[in-house]
Amino acid sequence: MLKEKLEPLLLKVQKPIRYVGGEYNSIVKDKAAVKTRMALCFPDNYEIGMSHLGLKILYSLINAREDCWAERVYAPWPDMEALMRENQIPLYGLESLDPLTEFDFIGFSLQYELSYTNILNMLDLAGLDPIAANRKNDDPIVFAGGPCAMNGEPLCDFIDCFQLGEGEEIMLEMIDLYQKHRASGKWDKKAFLREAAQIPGMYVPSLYEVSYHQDGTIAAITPKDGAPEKITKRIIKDFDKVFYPETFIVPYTEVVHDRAVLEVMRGCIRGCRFCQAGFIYRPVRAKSPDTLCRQGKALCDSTGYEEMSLASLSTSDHPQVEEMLDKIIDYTQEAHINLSLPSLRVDNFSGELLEKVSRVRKSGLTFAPEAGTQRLRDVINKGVTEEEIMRTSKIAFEGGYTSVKLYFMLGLPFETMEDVLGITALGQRVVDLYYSLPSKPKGKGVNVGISVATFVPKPFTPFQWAAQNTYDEIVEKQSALTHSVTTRKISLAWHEVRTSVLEGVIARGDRRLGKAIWNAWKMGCKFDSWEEFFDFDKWKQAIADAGLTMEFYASRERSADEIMPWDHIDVGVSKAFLRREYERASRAEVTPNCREKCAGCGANRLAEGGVCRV
Amino acid sequence: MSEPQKKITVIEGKPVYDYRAFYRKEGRAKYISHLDLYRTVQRAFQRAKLPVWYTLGFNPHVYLTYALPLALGYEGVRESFDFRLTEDIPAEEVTRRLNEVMPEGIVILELLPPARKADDIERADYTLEFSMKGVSPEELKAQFDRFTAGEVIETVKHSKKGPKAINLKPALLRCVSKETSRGILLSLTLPAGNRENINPTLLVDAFGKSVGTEPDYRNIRRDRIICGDGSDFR
Repeated sequence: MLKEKLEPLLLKVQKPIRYVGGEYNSIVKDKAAVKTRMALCFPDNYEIGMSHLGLKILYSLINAREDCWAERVYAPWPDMEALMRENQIPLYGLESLDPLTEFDFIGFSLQYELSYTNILNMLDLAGLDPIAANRKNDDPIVFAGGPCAMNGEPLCDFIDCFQLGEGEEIMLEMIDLYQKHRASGKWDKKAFLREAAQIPGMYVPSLYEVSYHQDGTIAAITPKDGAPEKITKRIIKDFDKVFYPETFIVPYTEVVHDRAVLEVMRGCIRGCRFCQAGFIYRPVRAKSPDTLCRQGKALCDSTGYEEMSLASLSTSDHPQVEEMLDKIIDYTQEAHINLSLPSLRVDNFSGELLEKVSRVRKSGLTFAPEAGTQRLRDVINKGVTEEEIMRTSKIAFEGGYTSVKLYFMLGLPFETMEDVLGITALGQRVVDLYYSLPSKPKGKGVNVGISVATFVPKPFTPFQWAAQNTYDEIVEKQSALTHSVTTRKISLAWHEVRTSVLEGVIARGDRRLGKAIWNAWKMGCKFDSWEEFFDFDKWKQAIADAGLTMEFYASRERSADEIMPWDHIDVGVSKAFLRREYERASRAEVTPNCREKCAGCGANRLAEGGVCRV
Repeated sequence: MSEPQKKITVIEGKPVYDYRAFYRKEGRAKYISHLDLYRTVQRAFQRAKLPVWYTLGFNPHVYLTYALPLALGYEGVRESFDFRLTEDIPAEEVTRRLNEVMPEGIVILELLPPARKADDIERADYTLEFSMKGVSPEELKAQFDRFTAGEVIETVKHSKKGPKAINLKPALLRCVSKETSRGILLSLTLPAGNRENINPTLLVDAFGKSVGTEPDYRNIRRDRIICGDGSDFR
């Protein structure tokens, strides 16, 4: 127990409550009575890590097994990290306060490319070598999962194995295999990994060799030791019956998402061409209204939360959305629980639905047209028309809303300056609409907030071949946008462009980038997604020192026949489908959503009986 | 013992039952800040499904007040908060139901009708243990005793109104030091309450500054909250 050593440090750091555990519903077991100990790590701070639904599910799932104990680990903030290093305190699990070296497994959730240096830093802080090949036979197995694991190549130097896709089944299979190997008395990590590679969805990168052409593109990806040529991601076929936590840990301090969360659906029927989640989580599956109600009530009762939110990629696309909302709103109103509904789309946002939503809250209203002109919205297959935006805004304004937030992206493939200026023009038309309404709220002005992100091409999307805009191109477009705003009713906001450039490099990176991540970490990079810590110059140096360029990864158009670093991973949707979609995008052709017409993406192969239930 | 008199307030024609909960805050729970504690207790009420009274007005919230907030990192032996119920439920039952759903380290000791006002609080007793790297307990005690023996103990107190220079000497109503195996243990009585509130760490931090070393706090505990007439706050 590190308690004695920790105690004198805790009053010297900001928010010591991040580092002590003991929250309501956190699970403490007798370590002598469990066979397998699992550290579930989130490579960002407590407030962000504690908000992540996937880890909550896995925490409860693993702890439901009597022979396992899962604990939580977050990246200590630099003030705490400095004190830990100074006082030889290794990174520890929040439940037991035992060092990570005492665990069997150390798992990382990969949500964002810019958290990768924190993984190296956390392993190092635990007293482990971040390089997998240097770790000893008896060191814990380091694995990772989450959306970024779909192209985990840049992390191959550091991670022993990746779980691809949904974790509820593969996690338990991995633990079973581990226990079998441990029980044999002759523990050989390599033998375990070789056999683990036979579990569907398990990717053991050390069992694959990658060779390159002279120009830096990939020549071949070759499996060895019997590892499969293609690793197919896992999905839960019967999503309505999948394990879901009866309760959440209730943090003391305020975290980013501090509420009961219901997972309404997995997958999305839309097929927006920029959206990685829209492809990698296919096929779409939904929970029944009754299941959701039961799970929501259990969560609120056991946590004391007074707020509940519905999580999915597009909640209004739930096949029984009206019935679901009716039932959930009936419960939340009776129990005095605030309901929040993110991920509502503009196009099927009926007056009736809006009326239901406004029964529960009247804060801001958010739409994501993503692009400023109809042509570009067709290019990205965001099936939202201006008429729909106007119609929904009108309903919202007449319902008493005075502020609308619009989300856009800059740097989309096939974007022209006309599309860029279309963003502010659309914002202006929403402002004009407000003032044209006789029934607008009296004596109140309107605020249209325009938030512009930089587009980052991602693997397993139709835009995986596309060149990302360079920093200079984006800055030029931003400047054009700024100059096109002529009213104070519109406020423009955007994020740091450089982080998007780096995100673009790592997202479509290959194994050679591991060296660059290592270099960056060695130079002190960590918490790269935090503006106060992000150091672009160090990253430029780190990439150059690895003998690589940012341009090769970010701003290069790939040819149709190029082998992608992630081509040995099968997420369900086929490369041929993605290429078709890219070509349709170039002609601004819309593809109907899954409910209207099957586009033949290939994800149905994963579904029960080979048929999607949309 | 007979059940103490209930305190009932009538709000908008309905009776509400006033309670003061006395609780212990110890172990990891001492790192729950005052703001976080408010949320923690509010959620415990929710889980216990107690008919707690909400404030009236535009933004109703659970009525919950603390007579004397406890600083971050302090344990408390007998702290209190006030709340109201809209139904008459026996104090023992409320105590039991709350303790069943409280997080580790917060224990409700008993529920009483509020007797004194927060303004009656005048001082508090504390116990505090600390050490300093590279300083033996013996040496530490000698240095600390020398520091507190001075005529004036000047330090800066940070408040909402900004930093303010103060003299701690008159605030040391009682200050006894004792060596332990790893540092020194202080028993202190200091002004507390709405008029003047001096936390013991302010004194020890001032000592740390005077010798140029940061203190390593081991235990800080508030033992007693005392009214102007010398009786316990209850």
